[in-house]
Amino acid sequence: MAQDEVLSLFTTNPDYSGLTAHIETIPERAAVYGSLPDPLPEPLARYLSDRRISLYTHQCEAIRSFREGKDIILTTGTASGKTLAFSLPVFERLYRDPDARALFLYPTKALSHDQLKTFIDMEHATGIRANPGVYDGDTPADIRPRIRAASRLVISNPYELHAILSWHHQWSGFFKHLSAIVIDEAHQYRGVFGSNVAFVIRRLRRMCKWYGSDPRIILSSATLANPAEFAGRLTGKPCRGIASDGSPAGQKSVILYNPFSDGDMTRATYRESAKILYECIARNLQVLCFTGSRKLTELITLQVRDDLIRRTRHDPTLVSSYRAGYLPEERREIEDSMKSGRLKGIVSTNALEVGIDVGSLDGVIMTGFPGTMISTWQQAGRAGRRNARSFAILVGHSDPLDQYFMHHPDVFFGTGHEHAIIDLNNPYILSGQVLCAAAELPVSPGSDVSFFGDTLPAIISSLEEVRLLSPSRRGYIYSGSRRPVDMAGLSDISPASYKVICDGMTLETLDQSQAFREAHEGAILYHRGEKYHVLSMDTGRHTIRVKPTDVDYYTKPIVSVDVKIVSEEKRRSVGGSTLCFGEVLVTEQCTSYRVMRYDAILSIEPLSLPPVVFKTRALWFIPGEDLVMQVAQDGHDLGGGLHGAEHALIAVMPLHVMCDRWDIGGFSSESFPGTHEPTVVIYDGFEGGIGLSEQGYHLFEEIAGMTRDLVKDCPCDSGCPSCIYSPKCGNDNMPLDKCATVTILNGLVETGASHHSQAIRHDTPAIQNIP
Amino acid sequence: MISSHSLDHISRQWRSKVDETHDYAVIDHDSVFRAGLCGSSLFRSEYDRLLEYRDQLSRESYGCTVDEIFNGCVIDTADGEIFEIVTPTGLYPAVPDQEQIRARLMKELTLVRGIGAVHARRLRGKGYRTLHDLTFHRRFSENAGECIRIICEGRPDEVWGLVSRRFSSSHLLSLLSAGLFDLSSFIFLDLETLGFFSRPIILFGFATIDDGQVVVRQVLVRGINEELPALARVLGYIRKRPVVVSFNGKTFDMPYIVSRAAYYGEEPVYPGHHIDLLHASRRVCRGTTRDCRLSTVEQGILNTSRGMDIPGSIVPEFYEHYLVTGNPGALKPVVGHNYEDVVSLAKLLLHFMEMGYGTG
Repeated sequence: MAQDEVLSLFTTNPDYSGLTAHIETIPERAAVYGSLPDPLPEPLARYLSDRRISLYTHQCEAIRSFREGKDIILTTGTASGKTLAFSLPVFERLYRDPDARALFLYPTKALSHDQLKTFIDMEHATGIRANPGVYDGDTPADIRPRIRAASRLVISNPYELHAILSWHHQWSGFFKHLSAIVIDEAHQYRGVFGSNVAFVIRRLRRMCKWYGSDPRIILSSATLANPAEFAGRLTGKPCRGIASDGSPAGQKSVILYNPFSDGDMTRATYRESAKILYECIARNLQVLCFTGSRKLTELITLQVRDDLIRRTRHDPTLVSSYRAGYLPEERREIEDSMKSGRLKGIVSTNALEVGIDVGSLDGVIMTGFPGTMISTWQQAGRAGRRNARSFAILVGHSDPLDQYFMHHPDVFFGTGHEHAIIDLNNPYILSGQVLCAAAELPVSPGSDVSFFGDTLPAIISSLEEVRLLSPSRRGYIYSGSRRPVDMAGLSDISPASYKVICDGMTLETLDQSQAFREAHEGAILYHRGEKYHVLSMDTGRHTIRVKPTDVDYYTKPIVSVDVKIVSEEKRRSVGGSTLCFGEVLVTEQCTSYRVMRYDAILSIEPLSLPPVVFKTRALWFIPGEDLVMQVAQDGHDLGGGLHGAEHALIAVMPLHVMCDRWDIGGFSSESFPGTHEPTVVIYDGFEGGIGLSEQGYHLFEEIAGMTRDLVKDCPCDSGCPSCIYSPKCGNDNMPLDKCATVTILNGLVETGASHHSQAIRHDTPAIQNIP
Repeated sequence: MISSHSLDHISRQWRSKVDETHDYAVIDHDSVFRAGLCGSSLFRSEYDRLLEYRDQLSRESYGCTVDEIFNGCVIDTADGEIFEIVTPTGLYPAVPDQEQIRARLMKELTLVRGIGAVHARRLRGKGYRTLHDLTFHRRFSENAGECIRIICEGRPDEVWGLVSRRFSSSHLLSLLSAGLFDLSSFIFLDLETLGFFSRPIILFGFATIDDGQVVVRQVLVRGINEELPALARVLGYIRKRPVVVSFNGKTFDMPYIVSRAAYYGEEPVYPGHHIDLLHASRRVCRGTTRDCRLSTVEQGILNTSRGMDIPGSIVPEFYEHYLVTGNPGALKPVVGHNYEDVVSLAKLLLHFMEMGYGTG
């Protein structure tokens, strides 16, 4: 079999087997079917039997739970039939209650429209009248009233929901009869965006309460380490978790391939990817290759085409690149070619891992760790539907996490570590959302605490001071002259956010500190795998103008950081050291930036940006005296050890708290100003904090354990980009002392125990009295 | 865990953000080109002049209260206090001659379905001058009979229904047929708000015809907590009067009232009949005036012009100045502007009714 041939390359072919770090064979899994105590109504039962579909255990459980009136979070894997699991209960409700309505939320418009087709088919096939409609920014004005009045099944996205809640009088019938809210791809609602969406959901529930309904919520998400906590934070209601997957799966071989395992740093990850892709196509296998950037996509496609022509005289068009920039027709053509079998290989950016519809594939190649395990398994899940065999090959970059997995495959394949973070305490997000809520219905410091938390009265009184809220008999009225939903965007934290604009279109919004660091004038900015050059930044209007670019250099800001501890909230000991959490004041100043190509510095350009000063949340640890003495006795550099620990911890944290390494910042000093104690600080790079370092505080032992293993097992002598070097170090990665780092990390971790096999705490203690 | 100091800092940031932009654009250098590109705009020089004017008014009214500046009274209602300024206009509109209206309608052959303007001319040429004549026409006799019954015996709302469904509610003949309503059935409505939806209404201006005289009532919201009782008061008036007359009210004023009623959980009101004079003005002014803003239409059709007036877009800023400082000086032009708008509505309607006689 062709697949066996390819797999044998990694075991027998010396060109590949030497760099193969690990091969894991995940055995095939038979389907486990479930049963329903009360059968589905006749039209739905017939719909399933016509398609010869029998329901799996988790699908039955979803239906049963929904019938019982429970809120649910489904975390079974990709292609496990989650869509049916949440559609059937909803259609059953629509059938039994002629007034019932349902709302489906998707993070992107493309997904919304795919789902619309599915629902129209279901409506047609079952005869259950739902009038499904997509209601979003693209919906033409003339059909909006029709959908509001007549659609029982409305598909939308959080941005649209955010905007229409203040027009609720147009939706009164819909809210009055809303029975179900389905949120698909829920794991995407994390970080700043997710925290804002969590409040949009609360505003929606508040609106439903006003109109007298109490809809059930169904979340559909990728696997998380903290599903119950996440669901509770996103929705404000306790949700029943359904994780046991009854769907069948074919045997899957997962290979961890490390181009750097023999210490040869001249190899490039993308070239290895291209070689492997070529081998697959030459054996007539259909493979999808994911990369981190458009540039790499092009390079790989070119190289594979080249190999196809030169080495085996194959048709070079057997492989194609696939980008967000292509027109929908072009993309459809590529997808159809793949489905028909004419096209053998597609190279795409990670940004499209959920957008492509290419049927079943033989294998997937991932060029570098996609950033989260969720993305990894989502990408790997594109290959081998049903019971077919498939393979997934992760080709590692030289980055710390990639290398860590190559050396610790048991962690890669072990239980989930990733926690999706939603912060319900960030005062910027909270106050902006309270303003939005006040513009929809008067806000009451009594009854609305159940939606916005204990700090609501303080927030209301503070907003009343600046006359954005005015007291009245019915509650507090929004009394500003600008609409709150226009000012508080879902990707924003604070009012001082910057919009990145290309050709008049807003690409994204950045916090001020992010903007100064990543999008200063002259910077090369990455967005969804595409490269942009920053033309100008207007600090008055808070806009940044960019244009797409193809240059071969990149930029790195040189940031000088200063941190002051404002208040300590929590403290505990870890090993013999002290770990704290609280509020800090960060001063970041970008004084200049480097223009780089690969590792060479082409030039250093000055910047005249004011310092960004912001309060945020942070964890910090102070190594115990014994540890400090030990470092001195061994003749190693304490400062270098602290600095190395800071970098390595920041590199490992994203695995646990699902953020980018750029979302967190660090600072370390042998003699911390004020306390004069050796200290390492890790802070959230967003004003007001976003829950990252807080989660880091709770998971510190695990993170420190993994970090210790990462640094200790790194084959380099005295530090490298795969362990303690950081790409964003403002001090030029100096001073760094690998041995001291290991000593310090050892001291933080319980001696003897290996942490990656420890069971993960799934529910961390509640931070505050947030519902 | 959040210090009140931090919260205050954050609230001030929101306040700055609100203050820094408005629903209109201020055009620097008075660039006409730029103005054309913006939806709603004010030239920089005009903007500066308006702010100076506002400051001057504030100086003149320093230390005064709302009651001292405006001739209104405080009324206690179930939902709280309101401040209502009642101004009899001295306008005694002539009661439309019912006979004349019905006679005019009887001459309108196109009221019959199936008869367009061209056909009507031809029929008139053949001697059919009135609907009564059409009852002798083989094809149209039944339809004409039905129209005659409504015009001669029907209630005002039935006649209005016939004409406005046939021609549209802003057609001059519809306006003419509205003259059959008792004068006390009308309410002329114009609102001033803090923005374009999602924000409070700050001034409810309306006029009714009491004992033959047009009387303007303006409920001024002295503090945002008065919006609800003011709204309730106006809803009460609208409920008792089947014909609402507005300028762009179908798109703005009435939906705004409905949305604020929903905001407070009050039962909304849907007017029986709504005459939106913007649409009528568009028909009449097409091509002759620069735009169809009320003040332009006023000048063009009624030949009246206002003295020192402020554009509607600056009202929120003037009102907010009052909220911040407590100085009611800036409210004077707001109330004045609104008064003129409401009176214009009444005058325009009467004018259009007159024009209705003359068509055809």
